Amino acid sequence: CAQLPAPPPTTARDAIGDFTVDGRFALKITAIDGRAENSGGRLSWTHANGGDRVLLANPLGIGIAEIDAGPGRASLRTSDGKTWVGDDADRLLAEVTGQPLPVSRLPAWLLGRPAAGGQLGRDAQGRPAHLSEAGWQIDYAYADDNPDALPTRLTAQGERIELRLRLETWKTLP
Amino acid sequence: GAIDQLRGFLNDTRSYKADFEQAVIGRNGRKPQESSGTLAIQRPGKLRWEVVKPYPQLVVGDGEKIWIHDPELQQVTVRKAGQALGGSPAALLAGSNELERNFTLREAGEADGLAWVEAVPKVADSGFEKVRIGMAGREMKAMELHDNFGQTTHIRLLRGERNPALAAGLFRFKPPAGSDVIGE
Repeated sequence: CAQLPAPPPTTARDAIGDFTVDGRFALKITAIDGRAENSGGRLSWTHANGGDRVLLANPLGIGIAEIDAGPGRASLRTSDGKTWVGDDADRLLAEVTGQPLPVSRLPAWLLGRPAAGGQLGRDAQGRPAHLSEAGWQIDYAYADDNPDALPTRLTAQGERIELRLRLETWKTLP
Repeated sequence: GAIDQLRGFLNDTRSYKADFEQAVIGRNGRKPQESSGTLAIQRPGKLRWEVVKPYPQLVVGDGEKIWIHDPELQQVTVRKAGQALGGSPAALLAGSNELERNFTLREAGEADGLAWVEAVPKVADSGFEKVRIGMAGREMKAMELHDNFGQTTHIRLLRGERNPALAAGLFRFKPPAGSDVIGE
Protein backbone atom coordinates (compact mmCIF):
# COMPACT_ATOMS: atom_id res chain seq x y z
CA CYS A 1 0.00 0.00 0.00
CA ALA A 2 1.12 3.55 -0.50
CA GLN A 3 3.68 4.75 1.97
CA LEU A 4 1.89 7.15 4.29
CA PRO A 5 3.87 10.39 4.73
CA ALA A 6 5.78 10.03 8.01
CA PRO A 7 4.03 12.16 10.66
CA PRO A 8 6.16 15.15 11.70
CA PRO A 9 8.55 14.14 14.52
CA THR A 10 6.73 14.66 17.84
CA THR A 11 8.92 17.11 19.66
CA ALA A 12 8.94 17.56 23.42
CA ARG A 13 6.70 20.56 22.79
CA ASP A 14 4.02 18.47 21.11
CA ALA A 15 4.00 16.08 24.05
CA ILE A 16 3.27 18.82 26.59
CA GLY A 17 -0.16 18.55 28.19
CA ASP A 18 -0.34 20.22 31.59
CA PHE A 19 2.06 22.99 32.59
CA THR A 20 2.61 25.94 34.88
CA VAL A 21 4.26 29.18 33.80
CA ASP A 22 5.10 32.29 35.84
CA GLY A 23 5.92 35.66 34.36
CA ARG A 24 4.88 39.25 33.75
CA PHE A 25 2.36 40.78 31.41
CA ALA A 26 1.70 44.17 29.84
CA LEU A 27 -1.71 44.70 28.30
CA LYS A 28 -2.48 47.66 26.02
CA ILE A 29 -6.06 48.31 24.95
CA THR A 30 -6.88 51.04 22.46
CA ALA A 31 -10.43 52.26 22.98
CA ILE A 32 -12.62 53.08 19.96
CA ASP A 33 -11.84 56.78 20.48
CA GLY A 34 -8.16 55.95 20.15
CA ARG A 35 -7.35 56.45 23.81
CA ALA A 36 -4.86 53.77 24.98
CA GLU A 37 -5.41 52.04 28.29
CA ASN A 38 -2.63 49.96 29.78
CA SER A 39 -2.32 47.54 32.62
CA GLY A 40 0.31 45.09 33.73
CA GLY A 41 1.69 42.93 36.47
CA ARG A 42 2.61 39.35 37.24
CA LEU A 43 0.78 36.18 36.30
CA SER A 44 1.05 32.60 37.57
CA TRP A 45 -0.67 30.20 35.18
CA THR A 46 -1.59 26.56 35.83
CA HIS A 47 -2.98 24.68 32.86
CA ALA A 48 -4.07 21.27 34.12
CA ASN A 49 -6.90 18.72 33.90
CA GLY A 50 -8.50 20.54 30.99
CA GLY A 51 -8.79 23.81 32.91
CA ASP A 52 -6.82 26.92 33.80
CA ARG A 53 -6.08 28.64 37.09
CA VAL A 54 -4.51 32.07 36.64
CA LEU A 55 -3.36 34.31 39.47
CA LEU A 56 -2.96 37.95 38.42
CA ALA A 57 -0.81 40.10 40.68
CA ASN A 58 0.41 43.69 40.69
CA PRO A 59 3.94 44.31 39.39
CA LEU A 60 5.32 43.47 42.83
CA GLY A 61 3.56 40.16 43.13
CA ILE A 62 0.66 41.06 45.41
CA GLY A 63 -2.35 39.07 44.25
CA ILE A 64 -5.17 41.03 42.59
CA ALA A 65 -7.45 38.41 41.07
CA GLU A 66 -7.59 34.67 40.51
CA ILE A 67 -9.43 32.97 37.66
CA ASP A 68 -10.50 29.36 37.69
CA ALA A 69 -11.80 28.29 34.27
CA GLY A 70 -12.74 25.11 32.44
CA PRO A 71 -14.96 24.20 29.49
CA GLY A 72 -18.15 26.28 29.86
CA ARG A 73 -17.40 27.54 33.39
CA ALA A 74 -15.36 30.34 34.86
CA SER A 75 -15.04 31.88 38.31
CA LEU A 76 -13.08 34.93 39.33
CA ARG A 77 -12.10 35.96 42.85
CA THR A 78 -10.71 39.41 43.63
CA SER A 79 -8.52 40.51 46.54
CA ASP A 80 -11.50 41.95 48.43
CA GLY A 81 -12.88 38.40 48.68
CA LYS A 82 -15.72 38.77 46.15
CA THR A 83 -16.32 35.95 43.66
CA TRP A 84 -17.94 36.20 40.23
CA VAL A 85 -19.12 33.25 38.16
CA GLY A 86 -19.74 33.01 34.41
CA ASP A 87 -19.42 30.64 31.51
CA ASP A 88 -16.61 32.49 29.72
CA ALA A 89 -13.37 33.43 31.46
CA ASP A 90 -12.41 36.09 28.90
CA ARG A 91 -15.70 37.93 29.22
CA LEU A 92 -15.76 37.58 33.03
CA LEU A 93 -12.23 38.94 33.34
CA ALA A 94 -12.94 41.85 31.00
CA GLU A 95 -16.16 42.78 32.78
CA VAL A 96 -14.86 42.50 36.36
CA THR A 97 -11.27 43.64 36.09
CA GLY A 98 -11.32 45.57 32.83
CA GLN A 99 -8.44 43.41 31.61
CA PRO A 100 -9.60 41.41 28.57
CA LEU A 101 -6.82 38.83 28.80
CA PRO A 102 -7.48 36.09 26.21
CA VAL A 103 -7.42 33.41 28.94
CA SER A 104 -9.14 30.67 26.97
CA ARG A 105 -6.78 30.70 23.96
CA LEU A 106 -3.50 31.54 25.68
CA PRO A 107 -2.48 28.01 26.70
CA ALA A 108 -2.71 26.87 23.05
CA TRP A 109 -0.86 29.96 21.85
CA LEU A 110 1.90 29.42 24.42
CA LEU A 111 2.54 25.99 22.91
CA GLY A 112 2.13 27.15 19.29
CA ARG A 113 -1.08 25.26 18.61
CA PRO A 114 -3.31 27.30 16.28
CA ALA A 115 -7.06 26.73 16.25
CA ALA A 116 -8.71 25.24 13.15
CA GLY A 117 -8.10 27.59 10.24
CA GLY A 118 -5.12 29.20 11.95
CA GLN A 119 -1.55 29.19 10.61
CA LEU A 120 1.78 28.54 12.33
CA GLY A 121 5.16 29.66 11.02
CA ARG A 122 8.27 28.03 12.48
CA ASP A 123 11.82 29.29 13.02
CA ALA A 124 15.09 27.67 11.94
CA GLN A 125 14.92 25.29 14.92
CA GLY A 126 11.39 24.23 14.03
CA ARG A 127 9.88 26.15 16.92
CA PRO A 128 6.74 28.31 16.73
CA ALA A 129 7.77 31.75 15.45
CA HIS A 130 4.49 33.29 14.32
CA LEU A 131 0.89 32.12 14.75
CA SER A 132 -2.20 33.69 13.30
CA GLU A 133 -5.81 32.76 13.98
CA ALA A 134 -9.17 34.56 14.17
CA GLY A 135 -7.84 38.10 14.08
CA TRP A 136 -4.88 37.46 16.39
CA GLN A 137 -1.18 37.62 15.46
CA ILE A 138 1.16 35.89 17.91
CA ASP A 139 4.94 36.25 17.90
CA TYR A 140 7.40 34.19 19.92
CA ALA A 141 10.96 34.73 21.22
CA TYR A 142 13.31 32.32 22.90
CA ALA A 143 16.35 32.65 25.13
CA ASP A 144 18.54 30.25 23.11
CA ASP A 145 18.62 27.94 20.09
CA ASN A 146 17.45 24.76 21.85
CA PRO A 147 14.74 23.24 19.59
CA ASP A 148 12.71 22.21 22.67
CA ALA A 149 12.94 25.67 24.24
CA LEU A 150 9.67 27.18 25.46
CA PRO A 151 9.17 30.86 24.70
CA THR A 152 10.53 33.50 27.08
CA ARG A 153 8.51 36.19 25.34
CA LEU A 154 5.18 36.18 23.53
CA THR A 155 3.32 39.07 21.95
CA ALA A 156 -0.36 38.69 21.02
CA GLN A 157 -1.76 41.41 18.78
CA GLY A 158 -5.55 41.41 18.50
CA GLU A 159 -8.08 44.00 17.44
CA ARG A 160 -7.22 47.12 19.46
CA ILE A 161 -5.49 44.94 22.05
CA GLU A 162 -1.81 44.03 22.50
CA LEU A 163 -0.61 41.61 25.14
CA ARG A 164 3.13 41.36 25.86
CA LEU A 165 4.26 38.44 28.02
CA ARG A 166 7.67 37.91 29.64
CA LEU A 167 7.64 34.25 30.59
CA GLU A 168 10.09 33.60 33.43
CA THR A 169 9.72 29.99 34.59
CA TRP A 170 8.04 27.05 32.89
CA LYS A 171 7.25 23.74 34.46
CA THR A 172 5.64 20.93 32.48
CA LEU A 173 3.52 18.68 34.67
CA PRO A 174 3.57 14.89 34.23
CA GLY B 1 8.81 44.47 72.74
CA ALA B 2 9.08 44.35 68.96
CA ILE B 3 6.61 47.23 68.52
CA ASP B 4 8.83 49.54 70.58
CA GLN B 5 11.86 48.37 68.62
CA LEU B 6 10.05 49.10 65.36
CA ARG B 7 8.90 52.51 66.60
CA GLY B 8 12.49 53.18 67.66
CA PHE B 9 13.71 52.26 64.19
CA LEU B 10 11.11 54.44 62.47
CA ASN B 11 11.63 57.39 64.80
CA ASP B 12 15.35 57.71 64.46
CA THR B 13 15.68 56.65 60.81
CA ARG B 14 15.47 59.62 58.46
CA SER B 15 17.08 57.67 55.63
CA TYR B 16 17.91 54.00 55.15
CA LYS B 17 19.80 51.85 52.67
CA ALA B 18 20.01 48.04 52.38
CA ASP B 19 20.31 45.13 50.00
CA PHE B 20 17.28 42.84 49.87
CA GLU B 21 16.54 39.26 48.97
CA GLN B 22 12.90 38.50 48.19
CA ALA B 23 10.99 35.25 47.70
CA VAL B 24 7.32 35.09 46.73
CA ILE B 25 5.90 31.77 47.89
CA GLY B 26 2.59 30.70 46.44
CA ARG B 27 -0.09 28.66 48.11
CA ASN B 28 0.56 25.61 45.98
CA GLY B 29 4.14 25.33 47.20
CA ARG B 30 5.54 25.93 43.71
CA LYS B 31 9.16 27.00 43.46
CA PRO B 32 9.32 30.48 45.01
CA GLN B 33 9.95 33.41 42.70
CA GLU B 34 13.22 34.81 44.05
CA SER B 35 14.70 38.24 43.35
CA SER B 36 17.29 40.52 44.86
CA GLY B 37 18.32 44.15 44.66
CA THR B 38 18.74 47.33 46.64
CA LEU B 39 16.43 49.47 48.77
CA ALA B 40 16.83 53.15 49.67
CA ILE B 41 14.42 55.21 51.78
CA GLN B 42 14.36 58.96 52.46
CA ARG B 43 11.57 59.79 54.88
CA PRO B 44 8.97 61.03 54.61
CA GLY B 45 7.64 59.39 51.51
CA LYS B 46 10.66 58.77 49.27
CA LEU B 47 11.67 55.26 48.30
CA ARG B 48 13.72 53.37 45.71
CA TRP B 49 13.25 49.60 45.38
CA GLU B 50 15.46 48.29 42.58
CA VAL B 51 15.28 44.64 41.60
CA VAL B 52 18.53 43.62 39.90
CA LYS B 53 18.18 39.86 39.62
CA PRO B 54 16.74 37.84 37.91
CA TYR B 55 14.93 40.56 35.96
CA PRO B 56 15.35 44.34 36.17
CA GLN B 57 12.48 46.20 37.79
CA LEU B 58 12.41 49.59 39.50
CA VAL B 59 10.01 51.11 42.01
CA VAL B 60 10.51 54.81 42.80
CA GLY B 61 8.40 56.74 45.31
CA ASP B 62 9.08 60.42 44.77
CA GLY B 63 6.81 61.57 47.58
CA GLU B 64 3.78 62.16 45.34
CA LYS B 65 3.70 59.16 43.06
CA ILE B 66 4.92 55.58 43.00
CA TRP B 67 6.52 54.65 39.66
CA ILE B 68 7.03 51.00 38.70
CA HIS B 69 9.24 50.44 35.62
CA ASP B 70 9.54 47.10 33.83
CA PRO B 71 12.23 47.71 31.18
CA GLU B 72 11.79 44.29 29.52
CA LEU B 73 8.11 44.97 28.93
CA GLN B 74 8.77 48.68 28.25
CA GLN B 75 6.07 49.52 30.73
CA VAL B 76 5.76 52.13 33.49
CA THR B 77 2.97 51.96 36.05
CA VAL B 78 2.36 55.12 38.08
CA ARG B 79 -0.06 55.64 40.94
CA LYS B 80 -0.63 58.16 43.68
CA ALA B 81 1.56 57.48 46.71
CA GLY B 82 -1.38 57.87 49.09
CA GLN B 83 -2.45 54.23 49.05
CA ALA B 84 -1.49 52.40 52.25
CA LEU B 85 0.91 50.07 50.49
CA GLY B 86 1.75 52.14 47.45
CA GLY B 87 2.51 48.89 45.68
CA SER B 88 5.59 47.97 47.72
CA PRO B 89 6.00 46.62 51.23
CA ALA B 90 8.88 49.06 51.70
CA ALA B 91 6.48 51.94 51.09
CA LEU B 92 5.14 51.24 54.59
CA LEU B 93 8.41 52.38 56.02
CA ALA B 94 8.89 55.39 53.82
CA GLY B 95 5.73 57.11 54.97
CA SER B 96 5.67 59.70 57.78
CA ASN B 97 3.58 57.46 60.04
CA GLU B 98 2.10 55.27 57.31
CA LEU B 99 2.35 52.23 59.50
CA GLU B 100 0.58 53.51 62.58
CA ARG B 101 -2.06 55.40 60.63
CA ASN B 102 -3.11 52.51 58.39
CA PHE B 103 -2.29 49.43 60.44
CA THR B 104 -3.09 47.88 63.78
CA LEU B 105 0.17 46.64 65.32
CA ARG B 106 0.44 43.51 67.41
CA GLU B 107 3.36 41.72 69.10
CA ALA B 108 3.94 38.46 67.23
CA GLY B 109 6.65 36.83 69.34
CA GLU B 110 10.15 35.58 68.54
CA ALA B 111 11.09 33.49 65.49
CA ASP B 112 14.28 32.99 63.44
CA GLY B 113 16.16 35.05 66.02
CA LEU B 114 13.99 38.11 65.40
CA ALA B 115 11.26 39.85 67.37
CA TRP B 116 8.20 40.15 65.15
CA VAL B 117 5.48 42.77 64.78
CA GLU B 118 2.27 41.90 62.97
CA ALA B 119 0.58 44.78 61.14
CA VAL B 120 -3.01 44.27 60.02
CA PRO B 121 -4.48 46.90 57.67
CA LYS B 122 -7.25 48.93 59.29
CA VAL B 123 -8.98 49.26 55.91
CA ALA B 124 -10.54 45.95 54.95
CA ASP B 125 -9.94 45.97 51.20
CA SER B 126 -6.32 47.08 51.26
CA GLY B 127 -5.56 44.19 48.94
CA PHE B 128 -3.55 42.13 51.40
CA GLU B 129 -4.08 40.34 54.66
CA LYS B 130 -1.17 41.38 56.89
CA VAL B 131 2.49 42.37 57.05
CA ARG B 132 5.00 41.01 59.55
CA ILE B 133 8.19 42.88 60.36
CA GLY B 134 11.19 41.18 62.01
CA MET B 135 13.41 43.26 64.29
CA ALA B 136 16.84 42.62 65.82
CA GLY B 137 17.21 45.36 68.40
CA ARG B 138 16.44 48.57 66.54
CA GLU B 139 17.50 47.03 63.24
CA MET B 140 14.81 45.97 60.80
CA LYS B 141 15.90 42.63 59.36
CA ALA B 142 12.89 41.09 57.60
CA MET B 143 9.39 41.72 56.25
CA GLU B 144 6.67 39.26 55.26
CA LEU B 145 3.63 40.28 53.24
CA HIS B 146 0.62 37.95 53.13
CA ASP B 147 -1.75 38.70 50.27
CA ASN B 148 -5.34 37.49 50.00
CA PHE B 149 -4.47 34.57 47.71
CA GLY B 150 -2.26 32.59 50.03
CA GLN B 151 0.91 34.09 48.62
CA THR B 152 3.58 35.30 51.01
CA THR B 153 6.36 37.71 50.00
CA HIS B 154 9.40 37.17 52.24
CA ILE B 155 11.97 39.97 52.24
CA ARG B 156 15.34 39.78 54.01
CA LEU B 157 17.27 43.00 54.51
CA LEU B 158 21.05 42.75 54.46
CA ARG B 159 23.82 45.28 55.12
CA GLY B 160 21.27 47.80 56.36
CA GLU B 161 22.60 51.34 56.96
CA ARG B 162 20.65 53.89 58.97
CA ASN B 163 20.76 57.58 58.10
CA PRO B 164 23.25 57.42 55.22
CA ALA B 165 23.55 60.42 52.87
CA LEU B 166 21.45 59.58 49.79
CA ALA B 167 21.51 61.46 46.45
CA ALA B 168 18.17 63.15 45.70
CA GLY B 169 18.26 61.79 42.15
CA LEU B 170 17.68 58.29 43.55
CA PHE B 171 14.11 59.30 44.26
CA ARG B 172 13.23 60.82 40.91
CA PHE B 173 11.95 58.93 37.87
CA LYS B 174 11.39 59.96 34.26
CA PRO B 175 9.73 57.37 31.99
CA PRO B 176 12.09 56.44 29.14
CA ALA B 177 10.94 57.38 25.64
CA GLY B 178 8.78 54.74 24.00
CA SER B 179 7.55 53.07 27.19
CA ASP B 180 3.85 52.65 27.84
CA VAL B 181 2.84 54.65 30.88
CA ILE B 182 -0.17 53.41 32.83
CA GLY B 183 -1.90 55.00 35.64
CA GLU B 184 -3.66 57.88 37.25
